[in-house]
Amino acid sequence: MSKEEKIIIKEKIQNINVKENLNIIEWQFPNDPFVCNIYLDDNVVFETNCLINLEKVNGQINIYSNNKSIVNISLGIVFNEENNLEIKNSLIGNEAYSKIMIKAIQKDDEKSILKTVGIINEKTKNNEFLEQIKVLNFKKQQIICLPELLVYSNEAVANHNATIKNIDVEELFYLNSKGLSNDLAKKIIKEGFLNFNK
Amino acid sequence: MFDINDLTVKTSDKELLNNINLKINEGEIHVLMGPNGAGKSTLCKAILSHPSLKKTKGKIIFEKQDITNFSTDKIARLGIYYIAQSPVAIEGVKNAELIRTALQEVGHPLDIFSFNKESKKYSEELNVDKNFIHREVNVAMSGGEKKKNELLTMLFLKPKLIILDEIDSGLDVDAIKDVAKVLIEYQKNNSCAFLIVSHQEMLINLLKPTHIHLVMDKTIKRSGDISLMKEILEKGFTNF
Repeated sequence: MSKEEKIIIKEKIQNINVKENLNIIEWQFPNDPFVCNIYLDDNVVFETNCLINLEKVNGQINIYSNNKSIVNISLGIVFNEENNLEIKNSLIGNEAYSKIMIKAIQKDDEKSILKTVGIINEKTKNNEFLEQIKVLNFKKQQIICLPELLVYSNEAVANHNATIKNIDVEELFYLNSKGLSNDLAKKIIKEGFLNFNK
Repeated sequence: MFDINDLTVKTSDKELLNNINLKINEGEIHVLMGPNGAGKSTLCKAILSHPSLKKTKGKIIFEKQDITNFSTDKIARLGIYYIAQSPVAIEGVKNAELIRTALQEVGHPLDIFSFNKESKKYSEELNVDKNFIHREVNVAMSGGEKKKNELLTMLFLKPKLIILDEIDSGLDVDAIKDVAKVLIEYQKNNSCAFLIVSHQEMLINLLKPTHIHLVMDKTIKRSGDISLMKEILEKGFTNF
């Protein structure tokens, strides 16, 4: 069992050492630029499966995975106004496993940047990294998705994919034909897209 | 109940339907037949104001209201229900959630107990599992399941004019019988009418339509009773 906690980022540079299994059930970000460094001890499981709402956020979350640590991130992100978020996971030990799954939408007619970086360090062995980013865009509501995978070790399994989907006319027409207005139809499509509990 | 007068429909650069006239009264079942690309599906979508189609001439009247330029959702809320040939999937959205939202929008919200009771009843009628309602809308469903799923929503919404575009595609023989039974039962218990696109003799015979229309060359070329279907099936479209 993992300990459940909230992460509230208050400092410009915030360092968190994770020494036991941890499940983050809520994230709170400041409006000022920030860097949050999360260091995982050997054999630790770090997970988070939640929906986060961001408003004018500009920051970087760096996760450092040590030997045999496990990272399991499933985030639904709703960007409100302009945001710039980077999530970086560096596998610095051996036999670590990371799975990062992010689904993101932009709520209003603004643009946000979502950058995800996976790094497998040189001289590390038997690490596994999987990253899947899905973005739903609609007209002026856009997320610029920048996935990056940097593998410096020859003994690693690394996989990443990014999908950008637009709300399509046929989906809207389908929901309209059930009596739902355009606004309600878009809301339902977005909420469905972010639903991780399938 | 429903009247189409001299309707012409275009996309941005092409005329798809020309001078369509169709009158449907309550209690009637109309079947549209015609070769591929004749405009049958376009007509169904045009009635619902599909955004890719432009009505350049004519009128559509439903229950004395001119709905020609109404938005899709407004038309649906008036009681026109459309089942597409290939219903789209909505990822992450449960049927129950969509149906309850739609019921709210059409002004017939149901409390959870009545909803569950009706869901059980309709699932039995459609011969689907009672948990069907908790699946995601048309996600990972076979062609036949999607059609039954759309019918499940129809049973909840109780529309007055039901437009079915090849409801039979993807259905096996038993499923066609299930669907026909549900439609006949629905017609018996509700003041409604049907406009159906189909070439499936079995389904047409089971439903006993009052009118058959042959759609060719962008228009309704001929109309008649069930004998027209027999003539079409004997002669083929090319001989009309």
